[in-house]
Amino acid sequence: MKLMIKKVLKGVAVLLAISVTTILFLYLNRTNPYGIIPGRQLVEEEVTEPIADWSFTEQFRTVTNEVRPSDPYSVNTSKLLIDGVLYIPSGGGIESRWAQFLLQDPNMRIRLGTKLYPVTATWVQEPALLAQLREAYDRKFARPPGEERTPEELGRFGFFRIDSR
Amino acid sequence: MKHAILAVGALLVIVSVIMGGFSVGNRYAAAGLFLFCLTASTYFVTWPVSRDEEQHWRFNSDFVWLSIYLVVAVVGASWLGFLLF
Repeated sequence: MKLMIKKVLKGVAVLLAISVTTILFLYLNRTNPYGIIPGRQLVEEEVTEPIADWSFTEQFRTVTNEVRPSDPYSVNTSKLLIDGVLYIPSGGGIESRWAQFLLQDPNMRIRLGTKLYPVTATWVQEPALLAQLREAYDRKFARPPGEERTPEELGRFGFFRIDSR
Repeated sequence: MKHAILAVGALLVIVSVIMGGFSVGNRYAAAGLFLFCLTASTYFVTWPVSRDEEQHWRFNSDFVWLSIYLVVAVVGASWLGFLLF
């Protein structure tokens, strides 16, 4: 019995070794973020014309943010559009790793669809605008009844205002 | 007992992947992988080399399997830790 199990385990070990090696290879050579795993430098075509009105972004569900130009780090997030101005929320507030990178260097690139846009990000601090953004975010990305965000949870949300550069 | 823990680990991985899919956020798959690999490694516990009957040093091939399971167990534990903390 034990010998048979050992034989099966050797086969499983080979499969695991191949899988882990493949995943490690893909991880080290990744460009796009995947789920909670951050990506690296994005490779799409860059749009050089400045964007004044971001209304066209409504057609996209998420945005990919490439921050820290010196050593690119990219994450997927949701986005919010208010009066043609684009805002990117950080659910972890200013403590998020990518938010910290943005505070050190506000230059970033965002990917919408198949295009990259060079932009600068400004951390929103004005209380009235912040409250408006949190309310708009909670409305747009409403949770099912019974699972609504608590005021404390919503209070952790911070936003970056996005401007073309 | 060891066989049972091994089976629980394997089942946990299979059921969690069927229920939750191949997802980085699947903590049950991470827990199952860790449990399975840690238990599987105990089937191959050995030193890298040992002396045979003629007192010659020889490599223990089981050490390869032990290493694979320990490495994957560490991967599973790191994955689980990343999701939980």
